[in-house]
Amino acid sequence: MEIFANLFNILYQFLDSFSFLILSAIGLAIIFGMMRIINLAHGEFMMLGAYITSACYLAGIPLLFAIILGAIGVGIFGLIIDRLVICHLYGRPLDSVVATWGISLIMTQGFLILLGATFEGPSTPLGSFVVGDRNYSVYRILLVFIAISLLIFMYWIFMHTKFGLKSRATMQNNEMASSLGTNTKRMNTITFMVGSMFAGLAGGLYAPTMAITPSFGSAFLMESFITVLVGGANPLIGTVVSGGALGVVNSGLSYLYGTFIGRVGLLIVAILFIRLWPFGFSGLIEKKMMRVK
Amino acid sequence: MLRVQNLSTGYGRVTVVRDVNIEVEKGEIVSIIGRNGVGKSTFVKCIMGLLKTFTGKIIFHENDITDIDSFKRAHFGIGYVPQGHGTFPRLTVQENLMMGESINIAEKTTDYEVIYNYFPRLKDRLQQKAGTLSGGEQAQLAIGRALVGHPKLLLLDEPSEGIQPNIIKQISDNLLQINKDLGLTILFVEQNIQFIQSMADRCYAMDRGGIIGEHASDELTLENIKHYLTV
Repeated sequence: MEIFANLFNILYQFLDSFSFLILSAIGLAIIFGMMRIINLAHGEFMMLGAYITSACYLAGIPLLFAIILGAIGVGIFGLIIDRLVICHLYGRPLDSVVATWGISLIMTQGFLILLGATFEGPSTPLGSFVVGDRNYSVYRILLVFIAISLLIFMYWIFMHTKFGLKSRATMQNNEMASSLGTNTKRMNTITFMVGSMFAGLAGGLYAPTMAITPSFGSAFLMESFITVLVGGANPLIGTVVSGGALGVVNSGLSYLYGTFIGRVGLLIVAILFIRLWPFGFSGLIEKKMMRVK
Repeated sequence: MLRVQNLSTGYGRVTVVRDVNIEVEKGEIVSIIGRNGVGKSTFVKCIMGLLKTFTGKIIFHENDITDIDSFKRAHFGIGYVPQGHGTFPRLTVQENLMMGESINIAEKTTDYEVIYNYFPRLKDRLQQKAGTLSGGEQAQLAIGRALVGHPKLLLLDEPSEGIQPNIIKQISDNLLQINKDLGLTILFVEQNIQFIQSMADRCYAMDRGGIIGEHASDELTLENIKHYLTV
């Protein structure tokens, strides 16, 4: 029985780590992979999602709808940011880093000034259950299923819709897609909006599990960037594989040596990838696929 | 169908093409010939809207398209096959073809079977990534992709480049057949003498960014063409 409890504990840690990595990275991965824009304000987009979700929840809207409203709200915010700032920076990745860093500072400080250091958030719903002598949160298990569903949803959007096809074509050859009648500027705007929505959704989903503060996004910053870095440019293949691999590293090391060493492990993997496989998992996999056929 | 008046264009502030006037009538196959670096590709890119027009006008089907975005020019019915074919390497052959559907939004999409009739190899490779095709197959894919959208005008930029001679012959035969069957107007840039002689009804010769001669097909003798192509 104790072996079972231990195994369950390891599995739970892995799935929790996996879903955290996937959810924190998914919006960033879409925007980076499709547009080559590095959104340093990604964590703040998640923070905005958490705030909108909390505010809606406090106003009496059920949590599920509050989370959805958070995603939509951040999507609209992303649309505005794209039109005002990002659309002038297509094809200029370094400038986009500086600009989005500026946006992140404005958002963090702005929230601090306007709403103070903390904000009342929803409490974790759905209670907990016991295996062995440990308590496990039902909501965190639910997050695992949501993370997997979102991956499937993203796969469907990008692989089986007209929008996805045009988006992938635009990413590979902007001029050619445009010459074939695709409005590439609009594709980029929509892609940025979709990426922002995923960020807002992830923020809303984690709102009940964490303190709602202006620095909410910083909790996700390292994990999200390492997942995208290790995953590489393809948001579909990259995010899944790197979320899985990093989940094993993080949960394994955390289980054996504690959370701190778990995070150190993530950083070491990131450094190894930068040195050895700078294009990440998707670079490795795509290279292989091109060779096989 | 296509009238270009006093067109000048180039990159940044550098003018490459100066004061070019050409006309292409419906159903015609017209070629622009000239040596490397005389501005042929630059000119075609400008017609497609990928480069800004400095001065002059581009009239397509009585519409002034001089200042509109390239995707809108495609919507008007210009199909473009760039130098090096411009296929999307990581999309499958089928996905590449589907990207052509947005050309000429006024017309229905051409039946894919029609395309496979001209280029049967594409049908065998629908699920294969375009990046794994040979040069000749990529050229066929790029032409097929433009045809999917039922264009009124097909712009080809050196379709024969990097392709083995027997495939070049096959592609030019196909294009002639398509021109006959569908009444498709074709404007192409080329240096391959065989390709020019077998296809063109008329040709403009280009040098140093300007048009220096115009010839009907019966004047397209080997000497004449060589004169414009040799350095």
